[in-house]
Amino acid sequence: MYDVELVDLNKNYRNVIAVEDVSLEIKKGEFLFLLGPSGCGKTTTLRMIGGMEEPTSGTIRIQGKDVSNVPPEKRDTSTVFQNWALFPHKTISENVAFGLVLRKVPKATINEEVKKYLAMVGLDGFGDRYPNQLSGGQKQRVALARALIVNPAVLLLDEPLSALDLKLRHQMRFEIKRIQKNLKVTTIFVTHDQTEALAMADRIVIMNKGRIEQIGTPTDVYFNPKTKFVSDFIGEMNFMPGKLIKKENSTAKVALSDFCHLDIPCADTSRLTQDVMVGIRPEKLFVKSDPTPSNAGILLPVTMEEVTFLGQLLRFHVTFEGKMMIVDDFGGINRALRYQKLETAYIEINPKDCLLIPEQGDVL
Amino acid sequence: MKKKLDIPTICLFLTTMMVLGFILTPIWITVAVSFNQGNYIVFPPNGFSIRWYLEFFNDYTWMMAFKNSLMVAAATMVISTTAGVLSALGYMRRKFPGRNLINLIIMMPFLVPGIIIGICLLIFLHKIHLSGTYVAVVIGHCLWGIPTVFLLVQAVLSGYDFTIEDAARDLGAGPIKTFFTITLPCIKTGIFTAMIFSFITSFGEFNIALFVTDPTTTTMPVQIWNSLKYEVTPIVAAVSTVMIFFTLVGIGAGAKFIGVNKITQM
Amino acid sequence: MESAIKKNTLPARMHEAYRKNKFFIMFLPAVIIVSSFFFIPILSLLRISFYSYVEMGVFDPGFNLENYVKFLTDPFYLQVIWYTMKIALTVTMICLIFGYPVAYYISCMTGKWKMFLLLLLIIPLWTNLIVRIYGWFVILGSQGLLNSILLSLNLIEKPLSIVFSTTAVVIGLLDNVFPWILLIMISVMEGIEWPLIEAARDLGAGRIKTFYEITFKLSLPGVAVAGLFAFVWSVGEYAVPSLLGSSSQRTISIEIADQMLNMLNWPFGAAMAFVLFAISVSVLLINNWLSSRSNITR
Repeated sequence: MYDVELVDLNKNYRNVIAVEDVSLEIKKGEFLFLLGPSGCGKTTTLRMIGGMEEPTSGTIRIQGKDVSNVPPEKRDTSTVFQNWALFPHKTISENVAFGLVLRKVPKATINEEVKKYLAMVGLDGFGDRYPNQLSGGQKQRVALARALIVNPAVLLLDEPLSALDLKLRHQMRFEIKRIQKNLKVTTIFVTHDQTEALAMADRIVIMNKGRIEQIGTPTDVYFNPKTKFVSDFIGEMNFMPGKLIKKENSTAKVALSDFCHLDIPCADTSRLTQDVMVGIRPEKLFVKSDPTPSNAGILLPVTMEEVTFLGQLLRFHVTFEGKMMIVDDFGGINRALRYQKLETAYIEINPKDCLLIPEQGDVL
Repeated sequence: MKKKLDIPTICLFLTTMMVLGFILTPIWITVAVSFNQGNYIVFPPNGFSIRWYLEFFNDYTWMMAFKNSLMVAAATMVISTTAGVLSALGYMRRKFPGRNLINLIIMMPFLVPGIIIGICLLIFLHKIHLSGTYVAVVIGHCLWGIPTVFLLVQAVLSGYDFTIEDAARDLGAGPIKTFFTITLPCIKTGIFTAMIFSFITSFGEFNIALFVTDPTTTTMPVQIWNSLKYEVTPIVAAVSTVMIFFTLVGIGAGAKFIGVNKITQM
Repeated sequence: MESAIKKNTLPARMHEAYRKNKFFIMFLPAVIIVSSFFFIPILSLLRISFYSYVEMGVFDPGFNLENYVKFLTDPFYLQVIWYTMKIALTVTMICLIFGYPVAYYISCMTGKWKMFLLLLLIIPLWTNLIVRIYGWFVILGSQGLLNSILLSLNLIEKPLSIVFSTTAVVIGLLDNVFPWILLIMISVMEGIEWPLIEAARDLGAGRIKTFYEITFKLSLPGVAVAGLFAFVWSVGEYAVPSLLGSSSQRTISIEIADQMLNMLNWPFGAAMAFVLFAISVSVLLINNWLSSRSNITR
């Protein structure tokens, strides 16, 4: 049995469709991410699970029970809100204790639990302060403790880190992941930050325009994107227009230019038409100064436009037949700097790293 | 902006002082002449006395009007605050179809001239046999009190984060419980201020009261109007000063509760 | 399974509609009070305005337009309308001309000084009008402040009589609308973003030019809104003209009150009141349109 099941979930606001036909099952203890650009319906989906919004149609089941029209106070979910939503007129202890007080837990137990959870999020001794006396990261921890203390079946996190600065965000990622693993609580995390999702998730649900584009593990969605949107949204991707020359059993011959042909592996060639897109990640391309391919690669002659130093890598902006492409080089600064002075160079493509994207439909 | 003393700034400053002087003078001068000793109003006052206050407190008609005003204002305060706070909470919580219509309905009585409300109620209350009762005056004043509270609480709520209500619901509090443990404590100063200002609104209202009161339910402003129709007596200065005092205390309390800024935002 | 037993019957649908929109309950008290004691009375006002007058307090419940015809064609009432409009326009103009620089000054201020100025502004706003009118009696009366100053400076030889004149009415109305208009204009000017002004000056515009190009142009819709309010509240004001005005020059509201309270000709009073209501509402609608436009441009 799944902890959370969504069946054909829809949400319309007057004429605007916010969420369309979302179906999803989440296993117990899973750390699931809802990822997508702003306005893709991920927060609305989360709020429907939490009961803050009512679905227009569809069913939500939590631990097998249909809760579609159950108000939030009667659902076994806890939410950490984007701006944390701490009660400004209550102390930190009172904030954290709120859910237990409502559940009529004895006072002594409450005090004990509050202490325990404050310690767990690293805030012992802060109990008597008020929310406006805390920093953003501390408020974040309080919100987490407040949500976890009621021992919810499902923990919902709505972009909890987006208001924090970069360093703190990275630190909190680690801590949330640690706490989640310790408590084994089923967790749904909404974010628009793909690195957050890739770093923390068991599974990622990528949403766009109210629909689910792909569900998969971080490596899955990165290396095997199912749609053009996913391939573009996760990581970076160079897109090159090509012409289909020949279909074979499991490969397709694609021409990027008159003299540059790629044999791209492809399981199903039946949907391919004349015009295709070839996608390749910047780190899968290599810059070379001389036209000798190292292994199975194909060489493209390019013009060097710009080289940017990004710390751990060097980023080349090159043009191939007037089309801009990005190449990332991790091969050490000394090796890479050599190419900086070049005006023309070659980039090496391995056809195995290429994705074939037809005019219409999903990635093959 | 940096303060610079040049000719445009000085001109602006002088105009401001002039306009503020213009709108404040009737108030301080009323207070000043209320301590006059003589039988006529003269300025500067000749001597200091509280005889006009004593006359006010010993005059049956004035005390009656004072009592009426207090009663009507108290009732108006309770009704307008309840209705106005609820509306403002609903209005500010989210966008919904018909939001502008709701705003227009609630604000309309406040925006049309008071005499129109007075006339309408005169005719309507006569029909339903309520004219001349306290209920009549309270109803009339609520038409102004509700928009006052509605505007003021909106200003207060502009700094209020509604997601804390979601958070409370999420943690297991029902809607009623959420209202009393979260919403109300967070905006209580705003509600106190709304109560004060709906009280002041009713306490000083004239245009509606004139048409819906009868001699037994006359309020202070109507009584002042009655007496000004005949002669300008210094007792009115004393009465007015008492009303000004109420207003100042109210504004002071409001400024302490929610700050001058929020009061002016409405 | 709660949703499984849901049926598409009318009660079920009504319950569904109620559940989805139950926050509308919050508006119920206010909307019920305003509807039953403002909108319904407006309708009965409209109805009675078509009655005809038989004698004091006795009306014939017919349906005719004689009251409107009388109000809008009789030279006496046309003169009343004209006088009322003239006063209201004068007040609006003075209010805007003097209010604009004051609002500009106060909106440029910061900190304690600004709070103090705003406080001085809201004291008259919340002090009731009758009291302030009394204050003007004291100032403008024959032995009042103004006359005693002028006499002691030997500028005049005998006291001026300013009360019971058009001047006194204009002064009273100005006092009434000034605080409101100032607050409206201040809030409009505070909405204008300072970075815009800095950007303009940065681009080399002088102080006067910046003021004209940015502050003045951006604040115009707000000024129009303020002006319309000043006009509506001045047209309909009753206490000021009835106390400070002369008995020979009458405004619409004085005529209305006279017909309602003294002549007991309610149909005619109602007709005049409805015209006043219609004027106010149309001005407010223009206002609504203007402010929605200024919101877009901002």
